[in-house]
Amino acid sequence: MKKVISIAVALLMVVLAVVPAFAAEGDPTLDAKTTSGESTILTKETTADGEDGATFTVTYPASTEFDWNALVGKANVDYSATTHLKFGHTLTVNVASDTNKMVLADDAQYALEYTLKDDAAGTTALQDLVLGAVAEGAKTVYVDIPQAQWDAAPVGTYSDILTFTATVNG
Amino acid sequence: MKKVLSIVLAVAMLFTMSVMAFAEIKNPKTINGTAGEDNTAIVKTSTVDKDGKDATWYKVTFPAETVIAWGDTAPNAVEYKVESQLAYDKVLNVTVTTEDSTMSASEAANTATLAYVLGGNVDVKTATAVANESYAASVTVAEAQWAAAPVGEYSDTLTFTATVVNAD
Repeated sequence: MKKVISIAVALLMVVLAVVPAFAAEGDPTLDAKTTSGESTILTKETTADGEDGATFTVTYPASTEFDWNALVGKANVDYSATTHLKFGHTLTVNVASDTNKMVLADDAQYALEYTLKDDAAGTTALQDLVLGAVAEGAKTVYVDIPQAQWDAAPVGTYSDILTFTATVNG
Repeated sequence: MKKVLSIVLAVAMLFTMSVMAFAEIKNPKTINGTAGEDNTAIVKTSTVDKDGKDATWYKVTFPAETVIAWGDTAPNAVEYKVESQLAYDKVLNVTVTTEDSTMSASEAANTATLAYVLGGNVDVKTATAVANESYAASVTVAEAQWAAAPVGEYSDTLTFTATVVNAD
């Protein structure tokens, strides 16, 4: 038993002796032997408040009113976007409607069907806006309500909801 | 008889040990009691220590790394400490320099850079030979630089150099 205790105490002493060797390294120093040294400055990707440094903004109107009988090119929704993302990332902005129908406020059975177009002539379906990591951009959404829809609809206030969806890729 | 011999030998050993206590005095001077005689002795220090090494020393401690938050336009301090014990007519000159004041992206494909201004204590001389002072250089990145660069890790190297120079 005495031998066991002696060995245990000896091992404990050895462990205590080596603990100081695992001390953290201090800052670099200069002295008579080392007269020059390097220090690194570097940025991190979060702000001083701990927020992600990457940001983007998409600005669009809360509401847009068209004239009655407004054909494509005359019923427009303008929006813009700015990006400050990580290198190699992009922003995609998609605009869409769930129903593509503007419904009469007083009677939901009446509706104006429409499609979203990418140009004033109404020849191309609406495309997404894509911006690079550090960019600004603007886009017009052309609401195409065919004349036949206007002709068949009682005059009134018809409305629908457009959903803007922004996605960071990369 | 054996006991007597043992005691004698022990005493003889003691005498041999005491002889060493009578160390030699260098350049001994004696006073003979004559009036006006020089009775002074000089005591002085050497400029080397007991191991023969130059007793002057200095130490400059600086950070291995300084991290700057994204978008931070305030001056970021790079603090360093200077300690010295030099000859009476010497002081320590410490400089902090950068090659081009530009941080480059860690991603090789990202060619964007962040220019910055290195200011503050970038060229200091200690006031006295014996010093224990703290200083700070500063790194400032302008808003326009942050705005033009994709978010990421950018870095540069500052070089600290210490030189012993004559006091003014």
